[in-house]
Amino acid sequence: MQKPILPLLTAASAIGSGIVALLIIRRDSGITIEEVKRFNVVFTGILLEALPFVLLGVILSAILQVFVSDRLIRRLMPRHPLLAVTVAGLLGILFPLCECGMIPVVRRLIRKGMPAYAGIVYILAGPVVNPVVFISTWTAFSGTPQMAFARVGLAFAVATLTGLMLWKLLKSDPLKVDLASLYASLPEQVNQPAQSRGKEVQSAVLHASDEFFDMGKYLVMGAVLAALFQTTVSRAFLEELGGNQLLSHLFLMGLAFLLSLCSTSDAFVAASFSGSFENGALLAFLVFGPMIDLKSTLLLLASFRTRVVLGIIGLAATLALSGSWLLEAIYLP
Amino acid sequence: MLTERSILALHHLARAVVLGILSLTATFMARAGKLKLYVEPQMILVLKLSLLALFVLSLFQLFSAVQAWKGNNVQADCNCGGHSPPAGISQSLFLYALFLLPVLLGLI
Repeated sequence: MQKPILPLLTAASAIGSGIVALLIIRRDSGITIEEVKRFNVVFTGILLEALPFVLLGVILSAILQVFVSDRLIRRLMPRHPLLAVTVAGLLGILFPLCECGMIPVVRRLIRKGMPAYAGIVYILAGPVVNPVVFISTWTAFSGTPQMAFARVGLAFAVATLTGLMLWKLLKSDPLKVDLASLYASLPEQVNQPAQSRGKEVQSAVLHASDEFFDMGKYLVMGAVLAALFQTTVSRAFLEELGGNQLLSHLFLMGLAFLLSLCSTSDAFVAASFSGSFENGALLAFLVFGPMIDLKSTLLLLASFRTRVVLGIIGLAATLALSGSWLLEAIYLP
Repeated sequence: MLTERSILALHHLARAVVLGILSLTATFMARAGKLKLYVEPQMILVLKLSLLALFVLSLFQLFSAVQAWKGNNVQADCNCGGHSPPAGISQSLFLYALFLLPVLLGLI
């Protein structure tokens, strides 16, 4: 960091030219102040509605990170594969960690002897099968409580089925071998000095606010996109897209992948789409997104072999697509 | 010339400012009775509580900024590998500007 003034100038000029560009677009395309206001209502609405749940998730996850040891989770794991997969699918109810905290924890657990398929089930199910996400989905879709049940149920089914298939298919170690994971296989707390209670609490609160920034940036960008989408994309196009079942499912799953929203807040983004899309497609968004997105794929690729990651993504996408289709036909209003 | 220590302190300070501005702006919205335009009535109390939490987190980041400035490391050791602040200055500015976007848009 020799000359901090240069990037500062670059950033300032980028922001400046962005504002100028926006002003020119606004003048030339005839965007009215009403449209800006409409954008604002959707944008601010999503942020304000999601805020309590993001905070709750972040605080719970920070408490768990600091106070619950890996050993406790490992002790809860049964030996029998079927039981292990079921327990791993429900583990999120007890330990609602966020996605970014989950993958490193699971990698450490697998290194210490937890079966890999069970770990992957926890990675897939944990972000959805947990109380905070259930309540936030319930609140976002207050008119249709079936969405919350369908979301949690389908996520559990997709995760456990994927895990069972991996149990049959996985023959070798799915983890990448690198220095970091070798290091992780060492007994825990080798290099951590014993912390006092006060320091632990301090560390938990700090962790929570850092994670708020991690999760928040995806939420803000997601809310911008959702609001833009609703103020700019034409009704006719939306109706055509929403009318085609397969297309609308695939479109929303792709959107969920790109947006990388945090599972405690994505229900509010999804609910803002409910005028344009059927509930089944929204369910695909809500089930597939938290399991697999850009952010978690990168994290998975850092820990697991590429072929295993591609297999997980393929299985989860197929199961989420067919499951949400099925539920739309038989359960959702 | 910025040392590692002062960079960390600046990050905590920036986070404290962003969190503070967000919670205060929303508090002003609450006082003006504007929250009910955006959220369901039964959620307003919960939202107000989370604004309080946001403000507490802001104070805590301020405290951490002072600690980091003095050289006491208060980093959370969670082994997530994902919580380190962004690398460059322009990236950090973008991140913090992103969080102030709702406030700026609210001014229009």
